[in-house]
Amino acid sequence: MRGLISFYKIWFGIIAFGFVLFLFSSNSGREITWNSAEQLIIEVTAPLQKLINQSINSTRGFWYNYFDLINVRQDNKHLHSEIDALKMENSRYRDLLATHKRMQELLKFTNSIKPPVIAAQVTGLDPTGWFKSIIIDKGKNAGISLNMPVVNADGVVGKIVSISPNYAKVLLVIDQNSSVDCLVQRTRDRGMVKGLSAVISKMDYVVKRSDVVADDIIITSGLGGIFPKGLPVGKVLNVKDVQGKLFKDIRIIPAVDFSKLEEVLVILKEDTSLNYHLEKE
Amino acid sequence: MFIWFLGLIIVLIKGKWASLIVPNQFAPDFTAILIAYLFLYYGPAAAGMFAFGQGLVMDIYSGGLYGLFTLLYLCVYAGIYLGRRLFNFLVPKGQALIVSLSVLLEKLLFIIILTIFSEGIIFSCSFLWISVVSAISSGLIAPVIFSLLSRQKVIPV
Repeated sequence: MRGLISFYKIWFGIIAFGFVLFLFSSNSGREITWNSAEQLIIEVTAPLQKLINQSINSTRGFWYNYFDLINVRQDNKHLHSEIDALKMENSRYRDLLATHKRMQELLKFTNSIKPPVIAAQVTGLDPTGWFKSIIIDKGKNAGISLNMPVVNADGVVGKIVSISPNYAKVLLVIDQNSSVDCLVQRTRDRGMVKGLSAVISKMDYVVKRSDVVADDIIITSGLGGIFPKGLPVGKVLNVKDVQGKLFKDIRIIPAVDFSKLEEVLVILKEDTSLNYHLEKE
Repeated sequence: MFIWFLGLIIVLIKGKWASLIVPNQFAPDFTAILIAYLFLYYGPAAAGMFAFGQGLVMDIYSGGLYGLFTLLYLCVYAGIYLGRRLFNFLVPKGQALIVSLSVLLEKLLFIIILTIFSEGIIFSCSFLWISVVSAISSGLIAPVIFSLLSRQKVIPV
């Protein structure tokens, strides 16, 4: 009987180890999405996560609203004086508005040729703390597919790496495994933005002769095949010329505040790089 | 079943909790503590299954390598398995030591695997200290959680 138990233990160990090796090997060299079993787990557990998330948000909202009420009287006085100043400023902006309207007409034309977007809510964050990914409440059923770019009003958020019928996993641009082909808006120097931490990213492969300086805006180049050109990625924090290295050492503050990410937009564009790989296969 | 549900809830709220209170790297590893609890009160088979299942769920929700956390939690299980031969798992001191060492083993393995498989990740000395803090806090909190949970089931296996 004892021998039989240890026999089962050994087999359990071998199967578990084999499964882990299988998981590792299935992940190497190419991007994969969730398989059917994993999709089932996500579809069952993600609604629970969504519920918990909403409860936490509501409690936090209630708590903050309570503290806001305490300061409301003081704020009221302060706001009245601010209104007078703003009235003056308002007349100046009326002139600018006329110019803006003309520009908006031009922008409408540009927007009409861009791909459609779909709004999604963030239901969960990466549970490990080491990797930077989020789960959103839109999946295949909403028309989302692999490698679609995810943005918000501030800039690039990440790309879709796994999908199930109603949920998707987004790898954030601040993850250390993420890289985005970018441009420095002012100088047009190209480089690769990679994640370092939640608040700092780095831009690699920017040649030393470029004159990138702090506060320069970094935008997507559109060359990676995933992100459309011109989306804000971040702002240069500092630039260093390290001796003996070919490229500049550039640190970037991401345009998006990832600690307050609640809603995102998925750009419903076809992934050209994926089609290329499929055709090749 | 309750422990499985508790483990699942921990995985689901971990990311949100980390963004609100304390970074996950510093926090005690509650999944590892639950594995140790199951090992003590329900036996190695239940703990092994739990470690495997929770690791798998963690892998699905995480943006890291597939299979990484399944392997790591199986290592926690192996650490507890070996640790109970060296220390007395029935007393709080032994429980704290075994859980701490198992979590430390998990963190070290995590650093080694990511250094090998993930080019982009660079670990500094602070990562090691963070791991030590997490391991010690897990060990210290483990006997408390054991005593809270064992109100349902008192006799260790």
